[in-house]
Amino acid sequence: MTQDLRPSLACALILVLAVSQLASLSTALGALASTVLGGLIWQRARLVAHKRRLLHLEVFLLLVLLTLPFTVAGTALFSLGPLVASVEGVARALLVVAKISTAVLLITLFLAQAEPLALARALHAAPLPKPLLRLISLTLRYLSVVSDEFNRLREAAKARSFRPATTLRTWRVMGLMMGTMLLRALSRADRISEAMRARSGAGHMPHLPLPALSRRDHLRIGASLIGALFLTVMDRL
Amino acid sequence: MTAPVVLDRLSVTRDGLPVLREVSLTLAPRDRLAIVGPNGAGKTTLLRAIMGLQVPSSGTVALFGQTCTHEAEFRSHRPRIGFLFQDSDDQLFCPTVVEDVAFGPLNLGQSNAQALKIARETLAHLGIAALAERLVHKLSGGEKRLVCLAGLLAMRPQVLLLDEPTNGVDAENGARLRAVLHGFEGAMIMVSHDDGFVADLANRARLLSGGCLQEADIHDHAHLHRHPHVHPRMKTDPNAG
Repeated sequence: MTQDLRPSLACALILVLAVSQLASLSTALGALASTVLGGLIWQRARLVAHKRRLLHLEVFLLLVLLTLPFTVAGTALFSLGPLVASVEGVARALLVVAKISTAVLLITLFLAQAEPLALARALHAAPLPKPLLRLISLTLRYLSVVSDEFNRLREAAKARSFRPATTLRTWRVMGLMMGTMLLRALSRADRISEAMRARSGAGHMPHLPLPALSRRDHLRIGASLIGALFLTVMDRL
Repeated sequence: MTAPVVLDRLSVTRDGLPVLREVSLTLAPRDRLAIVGPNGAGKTTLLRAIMGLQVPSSGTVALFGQTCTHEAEFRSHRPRIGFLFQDSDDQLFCPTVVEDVAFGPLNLGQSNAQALKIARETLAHLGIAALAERLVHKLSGGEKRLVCLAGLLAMRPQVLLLDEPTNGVDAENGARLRAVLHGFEGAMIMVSHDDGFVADLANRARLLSGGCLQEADIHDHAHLHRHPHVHPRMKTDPNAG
């Protein structure tokens, strides 16, 4: 049986929503510091396991940190030729970086270890449109089929001594592979829809029932709500 | 009892080229018909035409005594015909085994809970109850095939159309597949290159070649090693009839 992710999903959603609305730099930095601290204390292994993924994000944030100060008008801090960095810009950049880092950390802490299927299950409990849920579960189902197909294509090319390089021919071969993948995916989609019709499908999908939320789940969600409320109050004071 | 499937001079063309030419066929209620023939002979197209997934250029398909031309007519008969696709991955689109098997019963108007119950019973009947919670994409080829079959049997069909049922199936799961099909009460059309499978399950065979259907015999004779074999029926063959 896969784990029930609904409580984690709810906690992550509540906290990320609260963090996304923060306007004061000190609260945002406080939120970041407490998330890092909390993560290190309770979920150290998880943080370490997803270190690389978090670092990728920080590279992107570095770009924000470098460019944003020059694009916000305000009190000049220093200038680089014609470009002037403002104090407000630096503050804004730090705010953005703190908020995004906190949000991603929260999602990592609550959901990174989750099986994709468990996530799809939990989303079924959320008030999302049914076609969207169907898209998610079909994507999860066929992701491995498509990636296996692509790997077979790549191995077949390799077996005939194809070695990718930065040449026009490599791009052409890659293009052909992508085209092949697309055509196969389209005809597979046709066959899947036929298989659904053959079993009298009309768009309804069965789903395994999820257990009722436990007392502990309610406590976790309650604690997240209190945390979110606390952040919002601190921010506005 | 009316014949579940009757094809009358059915022709199918694709991109202007004939795939099936005036194919006529009657499947009796407990018939086990094998259709053999080279790749690209139109075997899969024939099964698709019976399901109403392929529009014929001429001729008719009659299911359970009713001539079907429109999607709505085919749709009303599809619950009674199970079609096993050549590629299991096309047919298994739910994340877990039990959900996939429950798909058909749910479409027949069962509640979610009832459909899951029927699915578990069907899996148990096939001796694969242990697979129920498994993720579909992590199953072996043979397991996928059995789960596909469970998905069809859960709808209690009267006819099975099997497109290369033993493709990519290991010996153990193959034996289980045969045992389940032996126990099936209804009619069956099997398209297969597996002569052993055909000889074991079919009671008659026809050869599809160049879009035309011919009579064929299943017989067993010694080559360098002994194995069952399907040949086109000869006019002078003393076994004919």
